[in-house]
Amino acid sequence: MTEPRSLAEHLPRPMDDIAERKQWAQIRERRAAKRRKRWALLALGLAATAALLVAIPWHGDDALAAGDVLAATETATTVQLADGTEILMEAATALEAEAAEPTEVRLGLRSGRARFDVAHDPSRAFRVMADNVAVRVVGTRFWVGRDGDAIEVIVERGAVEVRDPEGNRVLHAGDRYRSDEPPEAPEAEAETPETLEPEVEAERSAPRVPAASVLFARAREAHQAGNDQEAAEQYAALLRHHRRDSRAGVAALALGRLRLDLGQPARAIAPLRIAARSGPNRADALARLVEAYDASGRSADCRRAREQYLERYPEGVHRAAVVRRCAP
Amino acid sequence: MEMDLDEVPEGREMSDADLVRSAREGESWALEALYKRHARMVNGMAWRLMPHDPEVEDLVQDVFILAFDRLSRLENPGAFRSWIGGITIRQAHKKLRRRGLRQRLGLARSEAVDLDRLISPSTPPDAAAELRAVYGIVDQLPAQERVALILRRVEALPLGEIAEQMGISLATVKRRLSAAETRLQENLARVPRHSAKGGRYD
Repeated sequence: MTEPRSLAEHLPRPMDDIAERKQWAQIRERRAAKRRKRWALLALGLAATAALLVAIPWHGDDALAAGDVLAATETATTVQLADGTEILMEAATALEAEAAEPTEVRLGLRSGRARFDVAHDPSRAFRVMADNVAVRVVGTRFWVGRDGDAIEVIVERGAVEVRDPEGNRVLHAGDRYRSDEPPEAPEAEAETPETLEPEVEAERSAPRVPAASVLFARAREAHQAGNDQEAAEQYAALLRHHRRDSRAGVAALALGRLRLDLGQPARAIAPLRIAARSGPNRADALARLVEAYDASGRSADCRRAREQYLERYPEGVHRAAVVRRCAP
Repeated sequence: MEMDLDEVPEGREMSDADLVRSAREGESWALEALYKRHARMVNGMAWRLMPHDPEVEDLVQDVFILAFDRLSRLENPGAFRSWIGGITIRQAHKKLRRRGLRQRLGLARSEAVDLDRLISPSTPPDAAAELRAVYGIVDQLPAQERVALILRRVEALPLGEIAEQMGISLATVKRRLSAAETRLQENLARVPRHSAKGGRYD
């Protein structure tokens, strides 16, 4: 029996750049609405049962999964994970599982205060995130809570590493951290427990350079706040100091777009070239590069980039915009 | 001081596996990158399974929402494309099955599709004729036969892949295709071999 030929290319869905952006915006909004609804339902369920102890397995249908919300509304609730980790949530506390993998558990504190008594498991990283503060633990007992806009961490036993936009620090039993207070010894090099991973060590060995995640977060915050110049500087710093980071390609495209928006097409060229070579959205980057060359008056480069785009993405969503570019 | 970004070394392109891993770590940009990389494929496949259907937009959004919610269950992050393709097929099948039921209950009507408006103008006449023949019968087929026929005749997927993506056995795929092909051959016999729009179908 002969294999049939593909007819798919003859029946394409008419989609352009605008339709694609609209679709992505709707997907994002629907996901956010779904999470809000799920959270509200779970909180309601826990309030109704006034559960004092909830056991959550690692495997099976009831296993903890990314997106799950643990909430205590009117009664303090203890959640016990299968490995023996216990989480005591005060009333009006909500935690969301951002990751629940064999190698990593990451919980986001959305409201309230919780005590974590974490079972020692060197093969699994356990983190608690609260706004831009990350608490990393290997085996210990500690509290993480919100107090107004501030995040508070108190260690009862063992040690945790706290990472915030200012850098990393290690807290031991009896230590307390507040995100709105300056560290006691700001210039002192953070000490390193033997249990921390080499990646963390490397970041700490250059304390003046913020981590890529911090620069990326700062850039996005600045962009969302409408401060494009600051956002561009943070993305540029990320590219300068963390060239091989997984976010570099995204940062390069974002920097190129920002510089185009800021009326700096000539300065947009270099980051867009990086994004077109190695970013996750190469078609976008190449289309923007055509635009940047065109706006900079580099007609020959513009035509070369245009040909490259049309060759690589003959049905690309930017095709119509790209073919109009470049002076003859 | 202006940095020279040209000095930044060329990195390797992020693979789907890299993006899935980053997305699992909570990086929202990685989700957007996965969407952008696969939006065209998912939109295309959804469109061909349900051409010019008002539910296609919902279907595509459902597929990405479902995939991103279940990302932690994807065993092989490098197989994201095939995995999301499977989700597209199964979600389309669900929608078509529900619609078939509504139609049987008299709660919905089948709308005829003017395929000539949808076929790309550069399509060779024989390919256009084949598409007309396939889509001329799909509304009369049960949902599973319809999906199997489109995956085979339009997407040209191998039988084993159709079975895997639809979540049914190879034997069932063959039975469904055999039934659909019988109707298709009858329909092809009615299509003029040399028509103004169509052409030869071999």
